[in-house]
Amino acid sequence: MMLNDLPYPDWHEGLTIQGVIEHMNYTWPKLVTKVNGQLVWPEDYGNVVLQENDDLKIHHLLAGG
Amino acid sequence: MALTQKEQQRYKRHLMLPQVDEAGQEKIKNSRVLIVGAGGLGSPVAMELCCAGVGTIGLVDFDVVDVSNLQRQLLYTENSVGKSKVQQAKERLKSMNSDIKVICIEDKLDKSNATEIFEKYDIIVDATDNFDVRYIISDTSVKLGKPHVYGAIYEFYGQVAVLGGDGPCLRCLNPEPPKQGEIVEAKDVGVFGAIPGVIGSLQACEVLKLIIGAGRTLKGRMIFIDMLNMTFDEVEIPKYPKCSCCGKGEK
Ligand SMILES: [Zn+2]
Repeated sequence: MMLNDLPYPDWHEGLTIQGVIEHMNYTWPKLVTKVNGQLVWPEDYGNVVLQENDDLKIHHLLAGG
Repeated sequence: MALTQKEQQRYKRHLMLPQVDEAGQEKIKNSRVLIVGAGGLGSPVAMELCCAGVGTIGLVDFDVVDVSNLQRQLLYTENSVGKSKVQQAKERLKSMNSDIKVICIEDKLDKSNATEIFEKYDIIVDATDNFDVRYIISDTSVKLGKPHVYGAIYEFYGQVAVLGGDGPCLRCLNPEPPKQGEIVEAKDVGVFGAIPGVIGSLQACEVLKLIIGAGRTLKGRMIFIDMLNMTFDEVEIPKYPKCSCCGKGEK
């Protein structure tokens, strides 16, 4: 599995987006995520199970100007 | 209103583009664009739209220019420090293009005044520095059916999207703004000098494309730029069916 274009070493069966967010200790409360190019809504972070060849991108939603 | 001979000279390089042409330049001249925030992003947006000949530019900001703004807020000079941002911006913009109208709204945008302010404009540019106002801009743009050109920056990173109108909104991406204290305030975060220039110029580009109806805009898409490593990414934003603003709400 890839996370932001780098191999993610801690993939395991049943891993969810929420699992990655917690494992990576992303504390920013507003994220934009996509799996294989498709946006995943925040309410689904705990439901989307990542496959071994999935491509996950996690961006911070920014507000500075 | 048709272009004068002077305007035909001034916008000659626009008129040479088949996507703009005289009809497009007339649309630009007759358009009214509101820019919320006259700081790092608002500066390049306002300057680009002013040069391009947008007939009416509204600027919302309640702040005064601080010396620490000069590192990236292109509208201001050393003489601007301590003075009203929108008034200084107007002076600068009028010196760049005296034909355009600049309307200063020296106020804080909030839920009580957003609709009244937005009603007078065709397109809303989000150049603010906090989530609370961004959600107000998004909700009001959806309510009035106006495009919301989102731009945001942080350190070396930036993102741009076209939300609002009949497309998805900010709540489709994330239903609620963060709670108080969840995120560090913009004034406590570093910003690399050229970042707002890049993102603000992209916002201005999208505004002009929306006005003339050219090409593929970022409607319903967000692009992410990491300018430290110079990489780009984008995501399509489908309308969230349960969106409390543009969808049917939580079921
Ligand atoms: Zn929405």
